[in-house]
Amino acid sequence: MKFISPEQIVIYFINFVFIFFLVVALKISYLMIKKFDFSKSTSFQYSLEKRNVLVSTIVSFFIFLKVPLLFYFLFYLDSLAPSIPGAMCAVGVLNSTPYGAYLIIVKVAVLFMLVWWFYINKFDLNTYGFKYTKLKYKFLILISFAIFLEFLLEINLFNNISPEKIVSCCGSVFGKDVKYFSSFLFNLNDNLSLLITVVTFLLLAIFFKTKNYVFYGLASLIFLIVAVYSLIDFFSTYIYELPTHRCPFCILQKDYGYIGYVIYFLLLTGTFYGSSLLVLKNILDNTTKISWARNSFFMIFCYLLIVGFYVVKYYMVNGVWLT
Amino acid sequence: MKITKELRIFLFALTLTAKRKTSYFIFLILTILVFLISAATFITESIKKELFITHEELPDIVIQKVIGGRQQYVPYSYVDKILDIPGLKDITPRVWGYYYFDYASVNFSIVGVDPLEPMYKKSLEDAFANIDIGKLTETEDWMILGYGIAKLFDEIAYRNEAYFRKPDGEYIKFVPYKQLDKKSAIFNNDIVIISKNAARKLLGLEENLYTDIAVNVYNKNEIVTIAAKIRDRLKDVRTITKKDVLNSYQNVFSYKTGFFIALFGILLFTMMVIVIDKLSGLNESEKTEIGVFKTVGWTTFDILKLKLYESFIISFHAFIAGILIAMFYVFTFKAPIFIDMFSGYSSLKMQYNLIFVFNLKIMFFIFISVVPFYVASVLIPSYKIATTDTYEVFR
Repeated sequence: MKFISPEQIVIYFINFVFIFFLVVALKISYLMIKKFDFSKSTSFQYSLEKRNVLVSTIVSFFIFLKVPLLFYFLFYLDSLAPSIPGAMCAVGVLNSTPYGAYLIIVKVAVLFMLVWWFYINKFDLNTYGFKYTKLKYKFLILISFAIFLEFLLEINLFNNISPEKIVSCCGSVFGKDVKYFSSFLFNLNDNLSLLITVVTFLLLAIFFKTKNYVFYGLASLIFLIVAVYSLIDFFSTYIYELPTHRCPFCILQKDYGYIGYVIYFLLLTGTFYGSSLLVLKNILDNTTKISWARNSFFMIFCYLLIVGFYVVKYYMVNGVWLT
Repeated sequence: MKITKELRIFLFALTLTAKRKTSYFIFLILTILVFLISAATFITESIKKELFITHEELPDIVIQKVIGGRQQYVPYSYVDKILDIPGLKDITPRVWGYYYFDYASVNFSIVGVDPLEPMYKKSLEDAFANIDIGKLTETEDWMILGYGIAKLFDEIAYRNEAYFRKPDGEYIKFVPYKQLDKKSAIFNNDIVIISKNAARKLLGLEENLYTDIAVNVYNKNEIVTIAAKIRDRLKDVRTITKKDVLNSYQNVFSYKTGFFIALFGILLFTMMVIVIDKLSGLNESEKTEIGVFKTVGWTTFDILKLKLYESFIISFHAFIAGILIAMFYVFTFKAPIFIDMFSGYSSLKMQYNLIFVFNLKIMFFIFISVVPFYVASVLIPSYKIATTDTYEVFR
């Protein structure tokens, strides 16, 4: 292991704590899947029901810690940027190794899954006979492996950051040359990505009106991906007011009024609620579905308003479109 | 309705926390931990900021001749070769070096200056303020002493004159002309300014040879490109930009904090063990308490919330207290003992002023490095307490 800075050591320590709790949770999951039987009234069954409390506390603890930790991680990578030649923000650091792009995706996925688990648990406790117990513990095993994977990727990322190798900054990563991050990008034309985003949003609106929640969830998952693409390809250039600056991270910085935090909050929570309608379709009751769909649609709409506002503002001020 | 219930549990937790002895004990441990980590962070951040201020002083690019990994003296002809690169503001060949002073086992920085030439640093200009330059040009044995060296010379009675050894073994006499005050110590604590010719003799530099070349640039965005052009023209040189120096300083301090954190980790895990131990040992009255809660209708989750609120209250107060104490310790009392860990041991090393620094990033770092561990250690004991059976308690 290579240690670069104190922040990294703290991140490792926290990961060790996570792993400790994951081992506890995995052991309980195994017992739950093998032994849980609501019809029995043994003291062992009773103790299993008690342990559910422990696991749900652990998961809430994870959620409360993972959110600030994600921002801390990005902050930290940002602070590393000056010591890596060529890197100007977190993207350069992430892109300096093959693991960075996967790590960010896994981190967001883990966060989504943890919150899903939290809601499954909440609805499970309200059912008679805890119908979803086995399902949710199988899901928890999946989540634990995702967190292990995240830790491994993190170690690999830190070990491969090298202060000698020259990397590219965000402007070129999301520009033309293909390396690591950009290998995820289809070479979308600017206007095409905008068109797809608008079409997906219209689909969302139609499904929302017709209350077709399964398709709404599917569409919001697609929207998450498409929105990130269009943010990189189209909207970010208007926020930076620079046609060559395509970066999903720089909007988090002070120069742009920290607007990125608002944008990502709206986008992630909006698509989270939306996609929950698909993932938790058998678990959610109808009233929750309606309110979540409303929340989700509202947030996605606000997201589009904000990013659209920058485009319109640019046109009002300068009188031309960026191409 | 729901909010008032949460609030009531919270307020109840507040009164309970104030009542318990263990909470004061844990508060103490946590405060000490937060204090240690925040003192270390404050010191390093403050030193980093100071370096950031001083680095404005450095020339944009320093050119060193390097052969076989060893630094060589630069001939004057190198200046002519780079003279016509566009964008250069000034090129100053410098004469300077280190002088090892046996008696106190320290290194001085010897800086050779021609008082009639323009200075390449603002701190040097300041050093020559209020000095009759005409007098300096008459003789060659004058010297201007940095604050730290002036103090050292005063101790060993080098008050009216000082002798330095030349490379050939002969001694050369200097007369102190001026002492720099403490305010400038951050820039020139260990500096001895002498005339260029005297410095040549003292450092064994022949005519036409220089230690290195300092280059300033008009447009700061061009620094990297111009450095590349210089390397292209002068094949055997290394260019050091301002940013390189700053980075290497930052890495050194990151390394020092990293070392500290590694030690701090041991403390953290010790704290976890103590907290788990303290919280798991329930005494009779606490057990009865939980029994009563459950009989009056509290659910397991309510008790869990109560317990987590209690830990939150303790850790929040400890966090604030620890940071405040550390602030006083570092910025008011200038961190006695602790500062030595970070500033090195040489007696002529920089005297740090410890400028006040406080920002969100520091808070975030301190928060992340203590609070999650505390919450983690509270989790399992709280769960055990919350799931205690009512009938077992009252039996």
